[in-house]
Amino acid sequence: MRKQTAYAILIILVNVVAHSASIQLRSIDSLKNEITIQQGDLIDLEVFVDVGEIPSAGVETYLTYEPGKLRLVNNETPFQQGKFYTGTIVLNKAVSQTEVGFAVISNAAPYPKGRGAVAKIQFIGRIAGETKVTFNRDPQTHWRQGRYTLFTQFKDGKPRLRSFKDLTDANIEIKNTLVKIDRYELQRFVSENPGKNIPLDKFVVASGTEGRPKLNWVLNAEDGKGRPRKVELNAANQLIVGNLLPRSKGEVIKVDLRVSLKVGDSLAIDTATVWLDNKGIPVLIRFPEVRFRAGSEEILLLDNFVKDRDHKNAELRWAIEGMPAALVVGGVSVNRLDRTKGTIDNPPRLTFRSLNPIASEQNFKMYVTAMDPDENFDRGELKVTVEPLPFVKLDLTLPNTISLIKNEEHHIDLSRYLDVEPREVFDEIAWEALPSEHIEIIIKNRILTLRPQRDWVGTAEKIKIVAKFEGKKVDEASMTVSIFDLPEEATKTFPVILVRNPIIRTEFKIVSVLDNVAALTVGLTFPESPDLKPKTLMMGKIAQSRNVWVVNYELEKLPVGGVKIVASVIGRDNLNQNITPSAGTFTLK
Amino acid sequence: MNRSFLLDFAGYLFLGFLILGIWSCADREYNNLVQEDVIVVDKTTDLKKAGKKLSEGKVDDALGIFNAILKDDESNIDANAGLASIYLSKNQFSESIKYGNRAVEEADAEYTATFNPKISKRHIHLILAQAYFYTGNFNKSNDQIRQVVSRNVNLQPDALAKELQRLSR
Repeated sequence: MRKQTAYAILIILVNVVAHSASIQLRSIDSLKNEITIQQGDLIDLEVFVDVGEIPSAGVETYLTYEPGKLRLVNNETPFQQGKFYTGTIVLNKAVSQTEVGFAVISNAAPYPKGRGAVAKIQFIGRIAGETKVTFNRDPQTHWRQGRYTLFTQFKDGKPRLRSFKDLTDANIEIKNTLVKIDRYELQRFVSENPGKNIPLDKFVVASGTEGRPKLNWVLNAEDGKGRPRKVELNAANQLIVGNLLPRSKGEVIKVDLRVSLKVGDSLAIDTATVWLDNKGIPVLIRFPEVRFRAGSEEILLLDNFVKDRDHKNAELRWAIEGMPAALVVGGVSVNRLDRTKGTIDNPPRLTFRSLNPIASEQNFKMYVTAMDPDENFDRGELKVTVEPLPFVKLDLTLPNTISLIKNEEHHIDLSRYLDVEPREVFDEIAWEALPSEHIEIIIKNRILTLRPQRDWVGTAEKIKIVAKFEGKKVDEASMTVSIFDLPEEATKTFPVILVRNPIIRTEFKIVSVLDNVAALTVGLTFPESPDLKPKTLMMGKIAQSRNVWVVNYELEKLPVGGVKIVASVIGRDNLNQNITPSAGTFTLK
Repeated sequence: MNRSFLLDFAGYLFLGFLILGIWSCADREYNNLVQEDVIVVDKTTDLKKAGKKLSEGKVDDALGIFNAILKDDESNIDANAGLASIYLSKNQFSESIKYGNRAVEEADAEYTATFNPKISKRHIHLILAQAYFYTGNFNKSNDQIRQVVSRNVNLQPDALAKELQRLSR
């Protein structure tokens, strides 16, 4: 009944236009009439009036929209009452397929004046394009249909119907929902900020949204071999880079980004790929080929072959993979880090040695890894070549001629006369002696034994000794051996005297008296006692004497029946010439 | 008669005890003499043992025995002679001379070694002659030779060596 009364009043006052009153339809967010939204986006519009200084008792407004482009959120009660009129809502509904109407009447003072929001209405953009929401203002059509926008204004204490002088519609542009990742800026950020988290939202352009859109990200990461890597965002949509970075040089992590923006029923998607590499990885410079001879060693100073942006060289840990068993590696820095100091105690170095002699050049390949405290590492190939040993020389420094007494064995310790490099391979050398006609040559445990044929005497018996390594001849040496006969008593050139101990009868001394002698050697043979081995002894000069030479010897025991001893003395004079040997034969009982 | 017999019997009994007492005393003194002789016999045993060691070539064992003897009896001729020969064999000629001279001083002309009856004072002189020779002191070596051959000789080194060889055979 009250509603009908209000209608009656409006109809009566229809032709009156209020001076300077205005009404507009604007965005609640931007307070603008020109509105851009995305397809599917929600538009909050408000009906805002300015009725001037004269109080107003109510308003009735009709809006026309294009249902094909905008969808009314609430079809039943499209409007929500604003704060300007606090009276009774007498109209709030869709009045046709394209129109909605709202009316409010204040029944009691105080009546509002000035400006304020009358009502709020929500639409959703449906299809891209431009559209309008307009006030019904046509005096012909709308008035006749009873859907004309007007308000009441008091005059003479009574409310009078008025038309708004200015009516401002809402012009709406509905854009396709759009998100776009700025790939260039994104990759530039990654390059310039290695290791930093990536604020992904910063690199997304989302067009046409009122306010900041909420972006949804889906991320996938994989390493260079296609193995998936765990990738995470923090609460601020920042890609957490730290654990994602590759650890070794040349490796990159591929991160696929998919951003989506859902606005109402509309969904926008964009994708991009970011490549992450690690600038803090220690970079190994190509190693030179390490080449050395077997038995010697080669040192590689590792610091010379690594660059690390983090300047953490001192904290690098080094390791070797594929170390050949034939090589020995040394160097304090291999897997040894003095953590109390934080640095390696010496410049990191590798010392290679080859223990075993080799016959031909051998090549080895291994991998050296440098790892910094962040576990970033690089791995480099290292080639090692071991050259076979060139035996510098095999030089028997024995005199070219050696003189022996008939039936006397002579022993030579080859290790004292052999110069071989390296010494370690000495035991690997196999010795051979070319057969000699009159001298038996035996080499055993480095000892060369020359055993003259029984009772043979002669000169210029050449013997040859061959050194072999791994079956191949390395060197050879020869010397001439002369065997002297035992001189007869009559031809003795100097005395050879045997002086027995008066009490200890097994002990005796051989004494010779001879001038101008540099060295004398006595050979003792026991011709009638095969159990007693011949013995060669160096004689010494008696103190305070220039020509008396002596050496002592003691038999283990005196054989029953006595023992015959032949003492043969040979030597060199002061001019290093062999002297004529002399000998004496004695019988001890 | 009986009394006199008894008196005589008592007298005989007393005389018997007296004789028995005298005999007992003599017996104790004799035992003491025997014990002193045992000590001498023990040293001889050691010396013979040392002589055996020498003949077996166990010179160091003999050295220990001789030294032990000298601790009790510094002037023991056998031990000094034995050590002189041992040090001669070891080319320690000054030691050999020291012990040899001690032995020579103590030994009389009739001396024979307990550990080897073939060893006489002559051998000690020979040891000294050799030891002096090997130290280059040919004069003193000649002095010792003179003691052995009982005539005045003054031999040059080669002749001296030959003489030492001859005398030491």
